[in-house]
Amino acid sequence: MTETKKNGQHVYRLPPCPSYDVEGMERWLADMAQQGLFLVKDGFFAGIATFERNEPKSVKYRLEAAPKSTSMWADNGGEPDPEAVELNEKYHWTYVAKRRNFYIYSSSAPGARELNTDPKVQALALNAVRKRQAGAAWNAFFWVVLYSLLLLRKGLFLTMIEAGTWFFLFGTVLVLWLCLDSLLEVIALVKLQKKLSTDGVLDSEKNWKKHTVFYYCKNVAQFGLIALFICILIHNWSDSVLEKNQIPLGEYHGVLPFAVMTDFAGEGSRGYRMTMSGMGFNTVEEWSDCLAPRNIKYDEHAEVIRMDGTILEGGLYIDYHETISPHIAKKLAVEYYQMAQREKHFQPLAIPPLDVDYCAAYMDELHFPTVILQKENIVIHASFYQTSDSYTMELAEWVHMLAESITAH
Amino acid sequence: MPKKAMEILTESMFYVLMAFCQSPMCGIDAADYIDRRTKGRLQIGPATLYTILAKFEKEKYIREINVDGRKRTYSITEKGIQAYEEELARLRQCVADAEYAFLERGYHYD
Repeated sequence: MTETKKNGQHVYRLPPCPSYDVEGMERWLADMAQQGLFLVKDGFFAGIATFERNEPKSVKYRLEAAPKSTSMWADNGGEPDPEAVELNEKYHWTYVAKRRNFYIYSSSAPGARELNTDPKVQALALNAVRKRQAGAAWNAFFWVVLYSLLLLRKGLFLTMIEAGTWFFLFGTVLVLWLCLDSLLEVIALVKLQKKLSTDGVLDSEKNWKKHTVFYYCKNVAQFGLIALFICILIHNWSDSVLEKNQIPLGEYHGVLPFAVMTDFAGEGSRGYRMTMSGMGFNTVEEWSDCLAPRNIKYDEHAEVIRMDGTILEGGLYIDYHETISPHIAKKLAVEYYQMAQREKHFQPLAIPPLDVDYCAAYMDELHFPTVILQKENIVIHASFYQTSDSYTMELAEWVHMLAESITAH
Repeated sequence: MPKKAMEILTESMFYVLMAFCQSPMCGIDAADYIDRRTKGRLQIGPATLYTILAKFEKEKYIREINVDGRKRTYSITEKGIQAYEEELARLRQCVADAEYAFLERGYHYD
């Protein structure tokens, strides 16, 4: 099908090179003009250039380093200083658009004086852009480190397993890639400054087509991965807020690989009643991860009448992980303990020796007795509080039952 | 030790300071002055001129004394005059050295 080419028609194009490739951008815009495509006023939006079709002619384009931020929230809406625009207009250069840290001027006057006649001064003008970019790169790096520290407060393996290891690694690679991109931009600007200071001229005939495919592929991949990351993030977040993966205890038909309150009450217990129902309690959440194929978050509030008529009453919170290796299981157990140690009211508790590879007990911040057990590739982190007047089970007793249950499993 | 950007003025910078040594003026007037003074030999590009003005203002070589719409008028400061004089002395020394070297080799002016 033949494309109808009408004068005045708008044409949209993705730039083939980054904004800081001053030579490439200037040459590309001039080549477009030779084809009859002229960048329109304010013709850059969301990384897309808008051109107007007209009779082809020779037009020079120059990218001018913006001395201040070009953000629309900056002073003057990020537009160039009117004094600079007027000064340039006097010498036949018209302000056309801005792209990131650069203002684009054009001139079709054949004898127009060059915008920049002193390469050392041009290098000096690039200082502002380089400093802003370096600031942005440091800023990004600072927030990445800060968020990582906050995120990893729980511990690396715990965070990975809870967020999903592949998703976590995907996010990490993406963030590192974006940081590296920022850094490469700073390096490119330093190189450009060096070139101006030593060679004294920019290459106005630069072949911008050389790296186009790579640039497009990189941008498409980056955009696609960011979009995918955001989609997964929103999906996971909505699942978490809506508690989609939580199954009410009464509706759970799986076999739990650890002892629960009925087991604690012992054989012959006569009655079981869930308490605190309808308040978001008494749920099971089960998920799989490549580092830990089976994970369970268990939350039970109940009263159980024991064989002797006394009542075992309280709440049991369990985090259960079946990892791919005992090494990861041990790491998880240690991370649980280190996380607890950072709590204000942390108080270690003594427990008798158990047939497990790792065990630790403490009072958590809510003053619930809590235990961490690890046996081979299984880790269990359990808190059990009791409210019955008639019976209180000893810590050593229920911990022993828990340990036996994971050993048997 | 290499000198910082402003310690040695480039030719464009030197001429811009020279322009402001004459009288307070705006950027366009400074460019016109340089054109006249050098008889068109040195043509300062508008972006170069704007960068120099911003840099000089930041370094307090010049200061803005009037704003009339888009037109800003600047006047040279004591610091600017000092920088101009220092550069002038440096250039004089360069020329003196060059002439001495020229004569030393046995060349002479016609």
